[in-house]
Amino acid sequence: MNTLTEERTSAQGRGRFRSAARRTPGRPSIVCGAALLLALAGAAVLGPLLWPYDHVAQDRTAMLVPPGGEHWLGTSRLGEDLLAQCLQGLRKSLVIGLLVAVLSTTLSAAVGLAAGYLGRWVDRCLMWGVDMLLILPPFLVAAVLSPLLRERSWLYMVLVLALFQWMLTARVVRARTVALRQREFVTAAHHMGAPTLWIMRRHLLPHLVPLLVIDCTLHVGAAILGEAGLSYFGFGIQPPDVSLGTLVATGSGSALTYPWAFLAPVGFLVVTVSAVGLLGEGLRRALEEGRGGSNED
Amino acid sequence: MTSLSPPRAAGVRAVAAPSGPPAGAAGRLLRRLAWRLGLCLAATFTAYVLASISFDPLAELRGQQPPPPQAVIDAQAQRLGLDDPVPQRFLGWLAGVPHGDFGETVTGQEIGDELWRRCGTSVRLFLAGSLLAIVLGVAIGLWNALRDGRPSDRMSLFASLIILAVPVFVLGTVLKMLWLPLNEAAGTQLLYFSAETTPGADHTGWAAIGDRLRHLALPTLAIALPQAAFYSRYQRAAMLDVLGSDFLRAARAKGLRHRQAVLRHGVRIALIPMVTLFAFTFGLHLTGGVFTERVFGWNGMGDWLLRGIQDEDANIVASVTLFIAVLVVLAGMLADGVLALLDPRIRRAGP
Repeated sequence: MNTLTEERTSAQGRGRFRSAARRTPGRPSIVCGAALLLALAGAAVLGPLLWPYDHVAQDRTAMLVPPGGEHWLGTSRLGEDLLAQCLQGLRKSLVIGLLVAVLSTTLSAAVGLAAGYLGRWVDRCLMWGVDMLLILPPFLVAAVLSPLLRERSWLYMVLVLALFQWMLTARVVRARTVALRQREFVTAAHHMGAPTLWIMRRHLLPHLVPLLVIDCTLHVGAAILGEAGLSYFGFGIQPPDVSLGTLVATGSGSALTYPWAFLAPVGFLVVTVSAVGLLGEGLRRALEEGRGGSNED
Repeated sequence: MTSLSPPRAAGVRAVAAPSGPPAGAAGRLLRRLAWRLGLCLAATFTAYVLASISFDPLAELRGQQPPPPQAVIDAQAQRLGLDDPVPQRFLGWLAGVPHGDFGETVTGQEIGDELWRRCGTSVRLFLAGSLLAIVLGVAIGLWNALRDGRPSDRMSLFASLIILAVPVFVLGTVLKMLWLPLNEAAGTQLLYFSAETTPGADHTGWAAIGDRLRHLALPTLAIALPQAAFYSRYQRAAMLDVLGSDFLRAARAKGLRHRQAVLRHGVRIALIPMVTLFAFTFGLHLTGGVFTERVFGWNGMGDWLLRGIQDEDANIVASVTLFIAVLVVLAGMLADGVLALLDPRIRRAGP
């Protein structure tokens, strides 16, 4: 009996996932978003290897050169090649975005499942924490902690960003879990003596995977923007490291006079984040249609 | 449960129904108020503790050349209360708050005096921006839902994706860049790029209001656009949910025209998840206000927060956090009130 329930639920979860996946490739927003992201990621990985200029090399004979010619995107105030800088910055921003998204989605799944399934005081405590963290803007916390993080690796910043970005998803996961908990297959598994962690992992989590995938995508964009905000005010990535945020910060001082130094990193930032958004939106719609409007869960 | 969209509104809706023993409407409101005040204090405490751990206000003194005598450093540490444990410092700070005493900055100025001035600046800016954003976001979202899949819907979806991908500090600068040619074409400053009023100008009456509005326009737009894009997406999803619902079909079946049914029954229900969404994300949107103040040179709370962090000043951080927390709590109370207006179930019984 136990295995039967398991098989049914996991097959159900997989089946829905598969039906969404079947619909996925054809959607223009998913194709566009994924293609753009792949192109950007490829450029970020390969670009610095292929492009002749180094992102820290300063050419004092070519300062503030407008775009075109030798330097495709122009040069900065110190004569650094902007394309090389942007590619390097994009690399860092993408890595930060991915790491933060994976960490914060994992955290929100764990907290949401625990609060929704265990209920009672666990639920109350966790949701109280969530509500409190929702009051504290993540930017504030990360900026306040910046004097501590300044001397350390940027991985600590990833940790801080992840620790303050999971709350909304956790709330949605909790609400979903509360609804799932009352379904027969969960009750059955519980009465057959399945351990709590097993129920969470094998019976509840499969139903949440699509939601988590979508939110993970959206978290990538939010993390890239969050990092850019911190770095813009000098609380994030420290020189000589560059990220898109530090480049925007450097360029914005002269945005009205030498706009290319500002617009180049902004372009990369906006295209990256909107590609992520496009992908997330497409996935969400694919999932909705995959359900065919049924009232399931 | 209804369909997935809007992804967050689903969670938010479930939260809107408070659990616990049944009580009168007044009791419920009081309980929620107490809960929220507790959250306020906890958030401020967290910020204060994090700031105290992270900041080292004596670093600057220690780094001076020639080095100041140890007695000077000790005196400064004593003045800032750095010898006491952090919770005790927090309680000392908190004890002053009800009397309007928010402590001193690192440089020895009273925080209380400056706080009220900066409060006013921030509230003026953020209130105008948020109101505009809510009106725009709800209107665009509803319109898009009614025009589901048509070119106008796709266009605004695309536009909102782009706007949400632009950080607020970039948006402010871009707005300046876009407006600059217009200012130059007009030969005068039609709209100003920085500060709250023209420094030195002594306007009165309408001229003063006009001057303020011309300063307010661009930063308000910078605050409003991302929020409007955000709200419109969720409003669209919420309205689509309602359009496919049984009760709307029932309203049509009893003989209402489509327009009547949508306006009289649909919109009200579609607004309910938005109200809770507003309460939940209000704190996140405040960050946009911080950036905007910096970009446009407004001396508000956001600007102060950034300055406080740069000066490593825990008292300023705590004061600004308390301000943010109070705003979030007020937004939550407002949302409760509006929910009661929109949803008769909440108004009548109280769960």
